[in-house]
Amino acid sequence: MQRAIVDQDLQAFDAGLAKRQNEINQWEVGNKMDTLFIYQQMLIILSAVIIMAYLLKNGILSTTVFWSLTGILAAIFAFTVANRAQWTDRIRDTRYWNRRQFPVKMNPIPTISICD
Amino acid sequence: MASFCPTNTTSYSLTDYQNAAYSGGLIELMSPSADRDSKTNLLTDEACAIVYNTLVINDTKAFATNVTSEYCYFSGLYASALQNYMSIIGNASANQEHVHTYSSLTITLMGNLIDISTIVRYIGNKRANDSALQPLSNQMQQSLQTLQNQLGILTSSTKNTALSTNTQLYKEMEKYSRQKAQYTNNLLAFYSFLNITALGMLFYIYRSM
Repeated sequence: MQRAIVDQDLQAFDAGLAKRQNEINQWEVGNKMDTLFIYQQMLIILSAVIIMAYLLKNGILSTTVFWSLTGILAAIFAFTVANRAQWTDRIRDTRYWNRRQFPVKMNPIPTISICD
Repeated sequence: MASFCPTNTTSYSLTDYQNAAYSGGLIELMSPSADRDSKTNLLTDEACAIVYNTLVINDTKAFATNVTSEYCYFSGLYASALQNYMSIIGNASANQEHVHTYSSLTITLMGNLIDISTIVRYIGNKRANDSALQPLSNQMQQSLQTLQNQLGILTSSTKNTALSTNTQLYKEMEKYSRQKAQYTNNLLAFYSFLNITALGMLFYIYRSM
């Protein structure tokens, strides 16, 4: 009976270890997907800038319009990167990628008023 | 198997275990929601008293024979189910659903034996002067102790099997998530390449202007 209890403890430990490693892997996947999102947005913006540069070279687009549009696209990209980084760094749960953290000393705890 | 029952184990099928019933026996008289001790899960004295009051024992010998027969019926089923369960859990490629079915049926059949023993012990105490009932009551008392020990081992084994299933599941989940991370690496490498190419093209256009 004692042996059975030890076996159970070992199996529970083994299961806990695999479960935690799975959580770590899932978090890693989430982080990579977020990076992929940034890479995709970067590719879209670069492609747009390439097309605009081609149009600029052929005199179809003025320099002002080119730099204005490039500036807007660069600002969108910078905002996205800053937003994602800030979210992961400060708000995202450190264990589950899809969960957010709430400050421990948040008083009062925010409630949703859906019955107004 | 109890000493007062035949020692040869009859082979039964899964349907026999599932449809196990003894007509006119103590289990049939017992309510499925009978009161049980929260710690030992044994029938309480009140639950035994309800069964005892329902019984009409005119001939103690006939009653003892009937109870022995019922006990041996469930005992035979239990021994066979336990044998099958042991052979299934020994098989590494066993179907987990099958293992669960056999473990729960074995525990149910053992529960019937424990209930019969508890009721007979109660009746034996009530009729302490009845010499025809005392040998059976004593034998049941002994088998109750043995059964309770076996139940502990069986429950522990069932828990072990469940834990092993969980471990297997978590390991598979871990393997899946690791593979998913690897595939995401491929996508990241691909998009890195595309971005570098796009930057190169942009630089080329800038130089040619």
